Amino acid sequence: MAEVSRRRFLVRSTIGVSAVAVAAGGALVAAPRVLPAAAVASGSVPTGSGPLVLHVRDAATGEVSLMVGTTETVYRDRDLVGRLLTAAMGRDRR
Amino acid sequence: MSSHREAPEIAKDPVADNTDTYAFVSPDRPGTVTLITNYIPLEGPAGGPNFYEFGDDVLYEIHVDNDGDAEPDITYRFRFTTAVRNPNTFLYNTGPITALDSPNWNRRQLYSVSKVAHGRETVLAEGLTCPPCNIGPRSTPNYTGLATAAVHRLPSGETVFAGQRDEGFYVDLGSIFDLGDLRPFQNLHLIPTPAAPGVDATKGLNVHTIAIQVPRTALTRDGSDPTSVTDPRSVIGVWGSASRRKVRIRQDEDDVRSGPWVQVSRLGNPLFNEVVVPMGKKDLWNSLQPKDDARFAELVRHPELAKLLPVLYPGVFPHLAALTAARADLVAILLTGLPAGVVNGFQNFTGPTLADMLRLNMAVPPAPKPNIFGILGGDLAGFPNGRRVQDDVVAIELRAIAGVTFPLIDHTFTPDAAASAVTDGLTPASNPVAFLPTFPYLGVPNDGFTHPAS
Repeated sequence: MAEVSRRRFLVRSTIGVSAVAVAAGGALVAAPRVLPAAAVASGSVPTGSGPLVLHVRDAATGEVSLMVGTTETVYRDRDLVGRLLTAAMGRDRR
Repeated sequence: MSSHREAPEIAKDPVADNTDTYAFVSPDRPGTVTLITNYIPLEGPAGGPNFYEFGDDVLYEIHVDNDGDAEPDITYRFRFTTAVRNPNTFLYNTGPITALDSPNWNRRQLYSVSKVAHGRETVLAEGLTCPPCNIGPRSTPNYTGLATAAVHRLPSGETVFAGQRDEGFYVDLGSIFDLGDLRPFQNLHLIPTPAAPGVDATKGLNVHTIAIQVPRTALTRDGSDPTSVTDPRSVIGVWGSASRRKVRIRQDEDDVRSGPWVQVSRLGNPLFNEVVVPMGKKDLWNSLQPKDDARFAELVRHPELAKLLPVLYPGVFPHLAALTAARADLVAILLTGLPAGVVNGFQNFTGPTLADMLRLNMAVPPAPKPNIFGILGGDLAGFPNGRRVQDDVVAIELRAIAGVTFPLIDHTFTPDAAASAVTDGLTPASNPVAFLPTFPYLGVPNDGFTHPAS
């Protein structure tokens, strides 16, 4: 994947979502693990050490990818994406 | 060029740009094979104060397929770490660097080597030292000694080196990229000028090399020692790659890198992505694996360059101009290897999987007097049987594309007389820096004091 396209969609997040920026997603080169939202909620995503990076791949469908270490997990969570979009637009800021 | 700046995206990321890949039976240790991948194209030797170095954030890999499926059975991984002794000076060195542990050397690189086989990664060595860049007689007065000290023999049997080398790939870039001009024949070009000798555009430039010498028995699928040229177990496919983490977030101090490794550069046969793959697919090609290369096969069967040569050199290639058949010869050379029976006493066929890999038949012994035209010159130990540092891959591939190899699959075809003479006019002697007779074979890098401008 081109460096430019990899850079443009990044969403940086810690567990507390300290800073976000949302853009349209691009195609993935590496096939990520795809899990249902329930699996993520139950804690099966490897947490490891280091930052957790969230990429909203498709805001319309709520598809996001979570990157921790060298793992990537893709799932859908429309509620989460909705809250992120709200935060990105400057609403609901504290 | 072989693969220097060959695709739009990787041209902007030289630290990860895999410029050349070599694989050959070591001439001085024929029980071993030497695998080399180069990165960072066209290094000007005077490029300080931040001299060239490997990327700490790049995963460098050399892959070996030994069962013909174009997937890596063995991968050697190299990861680098930069150590700064004194961050409060702008200097790379504060005095002569006379040893790899010299306190005068302010910015050094260390690396680890690991081997991935059967889905398991094993660390072979850590904390290995790279040599510094070759700066000049005051800073690196005994460069050969420093580089020799940076050749490491590993307990697992491999020998490794990672660091700056002279750019051994010779090519007349200035003419070739000026509408396909070849100076020795430019009197015949569509826009003619008097014929002239070739000019080595990489002379005086350096590159960063990762080289590993491996016992042949460690590369075959079953640990056997390859002795029979006809034995499929004697053939391996080799390619290099560089990968970056999927995400990088820039911030005030340490940047954040996360996610899986994403391949941004790869290289098997020289000039494949450079000349065969069109502009719109070059970045894609760099991201894919050799097993995915069937999608590029049509570009090999009907290469653009074969159509250009008769246009650029009017009347010189009439037989090539009339050749419309699919180039099964090029498919064999670049994507499958040559089956037995095509070239007497030789094969490097890996099966029907179409994949760009350097294919090395390890049972072919090193040539006592290598011919730089490799198999085209009757030397079965040279390209496209793997690739040695001195092989004239530019001329070999130009001649193949011009039709010299088409009679291998169609005896009725007569190549144009010019096809077997095509060259950019260079030989290894065009570069005054000699190759080494021993590992890592690529020559001592040019220093910036002696070569302030190339």
